[in-house]
Amino acid sequence: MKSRVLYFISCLASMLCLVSCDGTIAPSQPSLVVDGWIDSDGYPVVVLTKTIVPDASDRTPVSDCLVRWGKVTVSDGEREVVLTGTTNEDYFPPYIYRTYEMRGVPGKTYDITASYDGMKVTASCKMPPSASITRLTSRKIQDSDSLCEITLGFLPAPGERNYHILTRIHGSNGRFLPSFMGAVKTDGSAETVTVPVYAPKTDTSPYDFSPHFKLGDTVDVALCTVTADVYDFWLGYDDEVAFGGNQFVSSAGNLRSNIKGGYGVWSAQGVVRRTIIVTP
Amino acid sequence: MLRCVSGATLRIASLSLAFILTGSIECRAAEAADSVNLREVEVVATSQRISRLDDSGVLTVDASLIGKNLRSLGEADAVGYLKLLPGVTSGNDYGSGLSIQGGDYSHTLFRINGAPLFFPYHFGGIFSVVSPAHYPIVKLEKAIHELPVPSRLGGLVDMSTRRGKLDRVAGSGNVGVISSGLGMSIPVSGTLDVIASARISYIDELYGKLLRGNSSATYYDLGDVSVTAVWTPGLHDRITSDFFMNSDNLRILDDAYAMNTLMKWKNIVASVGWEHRMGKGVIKTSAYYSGFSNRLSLAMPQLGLRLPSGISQVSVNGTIDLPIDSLWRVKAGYDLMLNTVLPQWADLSGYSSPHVEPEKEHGYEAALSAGVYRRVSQPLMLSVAVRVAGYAQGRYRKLLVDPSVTASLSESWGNIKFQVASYSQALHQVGFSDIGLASNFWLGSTAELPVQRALSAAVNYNKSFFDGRYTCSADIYFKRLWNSSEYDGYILGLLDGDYTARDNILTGDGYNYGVDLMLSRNFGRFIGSAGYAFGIARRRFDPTVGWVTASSELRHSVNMFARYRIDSRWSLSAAFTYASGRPVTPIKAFYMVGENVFMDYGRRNSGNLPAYHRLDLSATYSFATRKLLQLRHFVNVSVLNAYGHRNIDIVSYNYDSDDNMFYRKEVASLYRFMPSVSYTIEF
Repeated sequence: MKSRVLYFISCLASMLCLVSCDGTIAPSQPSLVVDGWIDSDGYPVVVLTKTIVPDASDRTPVSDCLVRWGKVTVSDGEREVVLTGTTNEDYFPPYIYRTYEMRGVPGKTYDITASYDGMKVTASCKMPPSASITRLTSRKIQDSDSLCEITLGFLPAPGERNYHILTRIHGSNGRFLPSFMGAVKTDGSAETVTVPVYAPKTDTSPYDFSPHFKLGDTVDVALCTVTADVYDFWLGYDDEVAFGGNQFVSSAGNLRSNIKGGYGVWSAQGVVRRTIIVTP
Repeated sequence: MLRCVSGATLRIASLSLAFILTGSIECRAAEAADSVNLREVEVVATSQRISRLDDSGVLTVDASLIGKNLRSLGEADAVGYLKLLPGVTSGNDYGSGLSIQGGDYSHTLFRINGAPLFFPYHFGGIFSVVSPAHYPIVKLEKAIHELPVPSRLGGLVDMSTRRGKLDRVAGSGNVGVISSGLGMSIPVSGTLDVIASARISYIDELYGKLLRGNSSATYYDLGDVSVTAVWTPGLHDRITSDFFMNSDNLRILDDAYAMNTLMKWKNIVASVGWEHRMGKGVIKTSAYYSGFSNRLSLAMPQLGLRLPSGISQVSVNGTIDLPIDSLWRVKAGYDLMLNTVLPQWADLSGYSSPHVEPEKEHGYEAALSAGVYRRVSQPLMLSVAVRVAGYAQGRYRKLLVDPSVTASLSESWGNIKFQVASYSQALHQVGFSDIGLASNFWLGSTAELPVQRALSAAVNYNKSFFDGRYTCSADIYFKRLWNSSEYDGYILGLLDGDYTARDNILTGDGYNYGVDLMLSRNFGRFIGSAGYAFGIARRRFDPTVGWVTASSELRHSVNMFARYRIDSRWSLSAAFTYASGRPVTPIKAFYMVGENVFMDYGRRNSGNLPAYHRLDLSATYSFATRKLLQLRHFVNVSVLNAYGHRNIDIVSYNYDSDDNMFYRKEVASLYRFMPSVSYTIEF
């Protein structure tokens, strides 16, 4: 009996010896990442960063992705302006490139070129016209005393189907951030479209995410008419923000980007804004 | 127990015994001078062998015995046991499907009493929906198939009730940690048997608090019921009717998102079959309905999204197996199928414009098959077969001709079987879950999504030695695939006003090849098996990208199973699984846009997760009591992943706002130290 028990245990032990190492991944080179836009009647703003190539360490400082000494130019086909880098705590990472020498005009095509440390990216985007906001309302959500939902109604710009919603809550963050599930594609008809407006979901927020707004918040809502390329980027962005890291659904893979030679998005967008104080 | 069908008292001098996989032994008396000439003798004994390998390499598992060894959350699961076989994997702890020799989940056909089962799992692949007490005979065909070949490209998992006539009322009850089940087998008359079983869960009642977090709560219940009636009006006829249904409801409430996610899925299978024996031949005719539906819905304030999908198949089919003489044998069959599919669509409220429910799609398939078997010499059998099918859906028409050639050689040094065969599959299954959640949906073939085809070449070698105490088997296979399908859409793309499921599907080619090896010890107190598999699976969906590793590839895997019976009451079991890491698309870099971190992925599936390994342990204590009834009791304690290895499912990078750093984030399977206790009583 003893020998058989020993035999059984030795079999188990031999099973336990079969362990292995991680697969290895070939290292790659960093690339530039553009998070940039020019609004209709607004100025170009670019958050220029670079990708971080994972190394042996599990933690990497945010400063590793900052690009402080890059060159960013924007052209509208008639003239070219150079954007100036500056620290700005309203953004994350807190460094942006901007200029007040060029204003966005719907119908014009805006080309961006960014370069740094031998890396260069370009993108081009034609600014569509703005839509019209017909309604922006809030009301308390069911079973909550403090949270409210916002509903946006808009009349699409003629011939334009692709939209992106951004929000900014006064007192929390200085920049407009992509609204959770903020990419909207209409059915192409000229009828009014009604969509919910959710709060942004970001990895940088130290708080648990809620898609709703607090009673009393003052919220700026920006409705951007975007090109199909830019819409595809934001749809992928929303998908990854909502479902990325979920064990039960497949990742859609890399975000589609209109940046040549790099990552991110360059959007020339027709923008209309409204502000709402969140009330029940 | 020895039962004599003719009722004669026996003195058996010489019997040629042929094991029937149920553990029964059916024999015919040899014509010897001192023997009694009998029509039929049935010897019934309880076999302790969990699995048997026949000469052609088909493996049959006794699911009721598995339940007395390893259990998952208190439930016996034959499909779970199949994952311990070389070349068979679910790819992931939560995988709700079986990939056999590198095939896709949808290439594997699950059948219960001959009818297909479209989704055989409860949530997260914990255990299958099929009660092992009701369908204890589980037959696995990997690459080599007999006529009639299934209308799938891959393996076949055939679950069925026992064939023998019941001689007494028998029953069993099982109390597990998440569910309980009852089963009864009743010989209603001398010709009619009824078998019924049912299972319900009480997850919410027992684990409700554990499933509720700070801002979310999960509710889940499952149930399944099976009823089988077998009527044997004479020695030559057997009529079986079968009904199966399962229903699963999963609800996740997330207070933070104010989101209510609900997933409900259901299989309903009903079949009737008639088997008629005529001299040496057998005619089988059956008809079945098999339906599967899934309702996934997401509800947030202002937004409601419902994603219904479903499939049903109605079929009438039959086969005839006719041995002409000792050299020739003919098999033929027909199969008429009607598939009705509701492709997944988005029923949307509160967002953009509402979508219009698509019409159900109908696909028709009519097939004739025939095969000729010729015994060329005593050890060598050759066969040639062909399946000719016509398929139509809408304006898409396809004639599918699938020939096969098989050679079987039985020698003293072992049995070897070689088959080259072509297969067709008119159904595709796609969705946004790699692990085969019930939300993955079926579609019929059309011009844009053509019928899947495969050309397979496979060899099986097997041999029993030391008087059957040991068995070894080896499989070598190669399969070329055409028109494989894959979902390529965003989940949120469902919100688009013009979303159509078929617009988000890629089709491409593929191939799988590999080797499976297995050695089993079948006798004595210590039984067990050890298997090794090497497999390569490649797919090409985009010619500009070229061949990429399929997510179903399992490059190296080692599986071991052992059971040691200490005495008549105690037995110990262990199962160890090791697999080289699942293919994943590696992260080349990460970056930040809009204050969120995103991955820059490299070539698809060109990396691997860390190696997967786990050890499951089990102890079973059994005893018998005899008061009013003779009862057998089994208490089983199992631990899944007994040494708690963190098997990584996902690697990504994220941002930590506390110290302003990016960090590597690993998400591991929840299957660690997962205990399980169950009590089973049988009479």
